[in-house]
Amino acid sequence: MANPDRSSVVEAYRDVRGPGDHPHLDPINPSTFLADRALAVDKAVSLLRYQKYLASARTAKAKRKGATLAFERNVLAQARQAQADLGQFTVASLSMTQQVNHTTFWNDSLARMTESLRQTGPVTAQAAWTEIASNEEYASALAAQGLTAEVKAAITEAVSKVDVTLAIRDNKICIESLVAGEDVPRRAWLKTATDPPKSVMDLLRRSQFDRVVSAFTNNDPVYMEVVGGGSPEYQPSDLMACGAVAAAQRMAEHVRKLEDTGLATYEGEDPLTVAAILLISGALLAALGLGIAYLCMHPTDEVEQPEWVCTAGEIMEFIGMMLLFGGVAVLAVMAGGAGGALIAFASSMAVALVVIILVEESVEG
Amino acid sequence: MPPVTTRVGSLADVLVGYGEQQSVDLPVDALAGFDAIAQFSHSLLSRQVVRSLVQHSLSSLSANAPWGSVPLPASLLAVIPPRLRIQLSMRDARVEVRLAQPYLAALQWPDDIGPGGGPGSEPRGVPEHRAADVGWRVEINLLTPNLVGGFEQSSSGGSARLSAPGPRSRVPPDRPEVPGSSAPSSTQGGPWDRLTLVSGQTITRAKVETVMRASLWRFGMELDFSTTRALTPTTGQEPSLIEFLESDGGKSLLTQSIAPLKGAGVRLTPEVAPAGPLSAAIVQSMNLPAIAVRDVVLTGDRGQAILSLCVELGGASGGVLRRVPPFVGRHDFGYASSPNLLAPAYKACWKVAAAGMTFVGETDVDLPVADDPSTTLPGRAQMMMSVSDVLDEVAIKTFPNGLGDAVRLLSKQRVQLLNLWDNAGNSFELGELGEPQDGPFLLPINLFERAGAQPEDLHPNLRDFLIKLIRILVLPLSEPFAIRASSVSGFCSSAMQTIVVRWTHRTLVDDIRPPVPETSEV
Repeated sequence: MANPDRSSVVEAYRDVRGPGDHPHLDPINPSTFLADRALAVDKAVSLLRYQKYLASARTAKAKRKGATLAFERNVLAQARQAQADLGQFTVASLSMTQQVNHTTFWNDSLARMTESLRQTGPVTAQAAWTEIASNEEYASALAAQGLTAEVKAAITEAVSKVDVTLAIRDNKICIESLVAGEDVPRRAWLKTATDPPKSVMDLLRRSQFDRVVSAFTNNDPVYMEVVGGGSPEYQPSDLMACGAVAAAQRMAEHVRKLEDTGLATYEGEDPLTVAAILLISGALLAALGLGIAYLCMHPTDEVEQPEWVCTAGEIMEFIGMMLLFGGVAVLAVMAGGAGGALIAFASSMAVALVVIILVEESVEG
Repeated sequence: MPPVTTRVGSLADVLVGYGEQQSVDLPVDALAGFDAIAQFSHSLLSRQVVRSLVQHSLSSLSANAPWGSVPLPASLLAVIPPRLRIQLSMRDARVEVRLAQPYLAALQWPDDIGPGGGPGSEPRGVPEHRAADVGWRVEINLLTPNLVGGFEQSSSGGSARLSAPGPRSRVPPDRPEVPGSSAPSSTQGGPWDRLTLVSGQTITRAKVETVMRASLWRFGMELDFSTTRALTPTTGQEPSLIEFLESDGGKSLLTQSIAPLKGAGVRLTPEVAPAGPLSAAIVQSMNLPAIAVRDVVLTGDRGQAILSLCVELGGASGGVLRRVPPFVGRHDFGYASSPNLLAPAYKACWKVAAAGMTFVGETDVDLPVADDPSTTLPGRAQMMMSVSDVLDEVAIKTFPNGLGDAVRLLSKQRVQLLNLWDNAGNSFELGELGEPQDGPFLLPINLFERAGAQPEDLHPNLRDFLIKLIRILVLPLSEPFAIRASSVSGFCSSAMQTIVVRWTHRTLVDDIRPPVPETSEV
């Protein structure tokens, strides 16, 4: 039963966790984990700056009523760099998640959030984020962990684009996203890796995350879509993988448009742009949250993180997942299916080689 | 965006390269508002005409008359050795007019799309009707009986006429000769010995008509020879040939020889089948939209004619002929299509290809270990997957690796777990995991993707299925053509909602030596 006086999710979570009870992040290789975190933050900042550059480039082209080929060439070069940055950001954040998958972090944090939500009732991404972003006492401590004013502003903007709530339904954590134009929120439930698979699809999805990481690491093609329907249950890492692939696809789409049709002078709030912003912001916030959680358990240079910052780090993890699902829900609405938001991956095949078989089999009569 | 992207294989690279002028016309629109466009090189059209003539047993036409019944000009008589000429009056002999070695000489197209044609090209042709000139090697032959073999003959209008060469014909097959050669030559070994007195070239002009086979969702262009007559150019030919063919006897034989063309449906283009080979029942049950075809002949960068058949579906009229670009380039066949056409085509094709399709295969899984949810074991799962015969959606989607985008097909699948084993081969109880489950089935077809599962690693059923699906992008023709594998190129663009595929047909040279890759496009 929710306590109406208990509106602060940070406080509720901190109480549930208890002082000094940090999440167990072992085994983690600190060298690669911290390097990945630094790379993720660095590349995320580059992506934010690219977004600003793109907006100003659109404005410049609109004002000039056109653009030279050199201008278009430069925009495309910047876009390709952003695409490369996103690739590095993705690999870094997925590598962090992959390490965390082999700890009890998700089990611990999901259990704590379940208990916290029982006290607070449903929590919106906006409310949770406002609590963190508006805290001045620990702003500098958070900034030191990558949540700089620039990043904070970008996340604030992303959060403003979604109506996502974290709640308890059927005794499990449920993310509900109400997308513009729909009356009923799309839902997905969070589960841990230790929940036994309930279906053959569940069983197959267990190794999906590792396959996605492998594809990104080896630069292999990976294709995914979100389709409507179902009542999906996702592990947090599933959402991270989905967000990574979807963001990469949106970025590829953006670059392809620049290649084939040039820079559009009107940006607009098209759903694809919104989805991309949510997916990248969600992945960034999740990576920042994981980094903070790690430093809380493994302080560097004997610098203990304040309790509030450690709690905020774990909450940021959940806000990240809410944004990721917000992006997934937008994609599900665009796909046109009703109901939830099923994630479907496609096998990648060397179709060009099958074309050769077809051609060689084609013999004139 | 040609100057920006120098990566070979992008749509711009496919379409640009015909001169600086075109490279600044951005963006390039391959479809020009049409739902699909098929482009054919002159070479491919010629090949198709010959193939169709062969199929109708019309690649060699002839008519003959008894020796002496048709006067020959003195210049022709002079070619016959004197001794043979004496013998001819004492034995059965015939004079033959024979047309062989057909080829497409020219397309004559009316200028009904206004000046300009397509970007970088000029529309061709002047006549009121669409017409095609089919060229032939024409021979005046002397036939004498070969005593080794017999012969067949039939009477027609008082003159004996040999049946056309074919399985039943006892006329010896044509022997390759230098086109245009007028040197006498002979052929022996059949019922007749053939001595060519003179040879040259002649043209048969046919009306060109668009033929729609709505019941099979196919279209193409055919030649109508109903009013044709042989036009023998007078320049560059042996005077004796002209003299004979202008005589009454010569005209009569020539007219008789081309008569079989008049009722035949000779194809100018291969029949385009956007959904592959469909039965009339499938076409009807899928309620496929009506196809309307408009045509234009463009000129390529080397002055070559390019015939474009431009498709509009279901009464659409957004296509602009003058904007159609010659995207086939120096290839023989080019095919650009949009999801508007691909959607109904793939839904019908899928209905046929996916019916009853089931795969049984194995994959690695993390096995759940009973009573300990935190422990898993590596193992293998055997599964059966069946694909719905209903295709829900067709779209061109971004495929993030720089080798073009993908035509994405979305359907449903039913997956059932059949067996679970750990690595030691111990079998596991399936429990609720054994229940079949439905889910989405995504199939992105990126024609230029070389990474991912290799063909030999695919389940044979899936590979065959994939080939059927790829066929309607690469070879949407009712009859196959031999294609040079390294020539397949093009691009798929989600931004432009267009897929372009081009290829060159294989020649004898390809069979003699390994093909040299033309570009690194694919």
